[in-house]
Amino acid sequence: MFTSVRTTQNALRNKKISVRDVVSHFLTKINEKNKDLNVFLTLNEDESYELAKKYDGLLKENPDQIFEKYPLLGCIVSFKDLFLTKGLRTTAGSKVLDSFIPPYSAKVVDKIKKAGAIIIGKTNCDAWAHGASGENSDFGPTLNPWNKAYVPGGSSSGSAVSVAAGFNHVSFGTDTGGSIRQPANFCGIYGLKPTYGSVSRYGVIAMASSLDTVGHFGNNISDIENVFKISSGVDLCDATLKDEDKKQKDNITVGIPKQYFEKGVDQVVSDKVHEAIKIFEKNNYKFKEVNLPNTKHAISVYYIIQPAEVCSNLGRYDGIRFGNPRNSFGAEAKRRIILGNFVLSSGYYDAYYKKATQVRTLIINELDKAFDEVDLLIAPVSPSQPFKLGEKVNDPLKMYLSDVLTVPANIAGIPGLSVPFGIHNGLSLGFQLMGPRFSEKLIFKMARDFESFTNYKFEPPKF
Amino acid sequence: MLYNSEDLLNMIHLTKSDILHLAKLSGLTLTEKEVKELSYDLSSVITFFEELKETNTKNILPTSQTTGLENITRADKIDTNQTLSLEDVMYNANDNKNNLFKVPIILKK
Repeated sequence: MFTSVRTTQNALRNKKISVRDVVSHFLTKINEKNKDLNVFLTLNEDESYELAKKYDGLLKENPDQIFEKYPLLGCIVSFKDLFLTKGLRTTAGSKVLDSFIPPYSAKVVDKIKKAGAIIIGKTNCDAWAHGASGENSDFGPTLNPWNKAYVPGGSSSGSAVSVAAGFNHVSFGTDTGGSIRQPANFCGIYGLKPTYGSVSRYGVIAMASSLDTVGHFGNNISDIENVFKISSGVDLCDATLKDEDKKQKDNITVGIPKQYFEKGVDQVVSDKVHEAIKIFEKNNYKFKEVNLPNTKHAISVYYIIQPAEVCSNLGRYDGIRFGNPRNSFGAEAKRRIILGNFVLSSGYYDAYYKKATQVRTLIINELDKAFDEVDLLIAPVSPSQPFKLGEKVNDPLKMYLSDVLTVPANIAGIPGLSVPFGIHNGLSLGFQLMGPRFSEKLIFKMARDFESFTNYKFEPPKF
Repeated sequence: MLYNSEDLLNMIHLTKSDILHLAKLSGLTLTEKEVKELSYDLSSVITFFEELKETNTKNILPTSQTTGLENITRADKIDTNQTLSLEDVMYNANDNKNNLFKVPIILKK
């Protein structure tokens, strides 16, 4: 009844439960179990119950048309603590903002609320979204619900775990280099990084502006599709937004980029992707190997462009108008600010920053060419299964390298969806689908087909 | 795709004074320990970037954004839904007087 938005809405329609029951179901679970996993930094209990009361009233008055006006009625969501929420503390996972109360909300927060969703709380993340493990949060790491000795991935760690642990239906995160797809992969759920420019970032704390995207976590593809539809679109507040829709088609040809399966990618990870390919093939999907040799430069390109943009975006935190002084920045933020200023500084600019923006063009051209031959791409998400807490924390380069298969989509601004598929040694596995800009519908179709080929049903972890 | 420790032999070094200079540009004050760690960590990261040198980027235009959009503007009108009250603006400031932000002294007599 509480697993997906659809089942919850059906139960509401049939008067089996009230919105208050839905809110209370999730809040009871959070209050009981949040301390084990460190998912939520701030809860929004009072407003959640107030809104439940309002919607229960409306449901009684007008049960037939209410879902047209509020398509997300009964949907309980959380936001990564990078989204401004008016009157509700927003920290970015950093001590710099540990008591910051935003005076306005992000556009996407307003949109989702207007559609009837109830925001239950704000989730933990790597500070400023810098990280692939959640361990860079100044509020302590979030733990993987499949095995608490392991990281849940990052940087949208709390958002991914909130869905996997059944603390809410859907959660919102940001993906600058894999921060939605990788934690979704590590937690056994779906994670969508939409096309750059499809979902508004107005009121979302900026990390690297030419790469940042807002996306969604869910435990089934239809919930992801619904929230994406409601959250995307032009709003004149984020100037990078565009309304575009790629044409749907029936016979999808999928590319297998061989560089995504090379040395450095664990056997169990690539085997699982090939197992998925076999299932698709049995159901008349066509596959074709594609060559993307510049993929190997993606990490360097990303870790030059991204810190360059980070150091500029974090320049505004002066501790005067809001927040604490700059000495409250944690180690990773300092590292990226210094690295960004290095690649931009006179004498190094051409060798690093300019070179990276040129190689970025090469990576984009290569992907565009591949999409002339194939409709979508299938690949692993992370080169390995979840790693242990503390395993990479003292080796920044090693941590950066775990982003190798997710950063190309951000560099090119294309969409990517993390699809859960199977468990190995008690930890989750899966694959990602990527497509040309604005090809979300095609990606959803392929994922929906996979759900039906495999009779997918979300199996929550026991923790 | 992975780096190996041999690369570290040919490591590019960011010295202590490089780091201190960058910290100044960044508006950050660092401890002795942080300077040492940053110098080591960032040297290995920058050494890794050397692999980009093998790509031929002659006549390749740089990419700074992927939308292809240009000059997106809104009407030059005040939207009262997008403005904040004075109270809201001052609320998060650590120190203010008469609705003005109090800032540290940067010029000395």
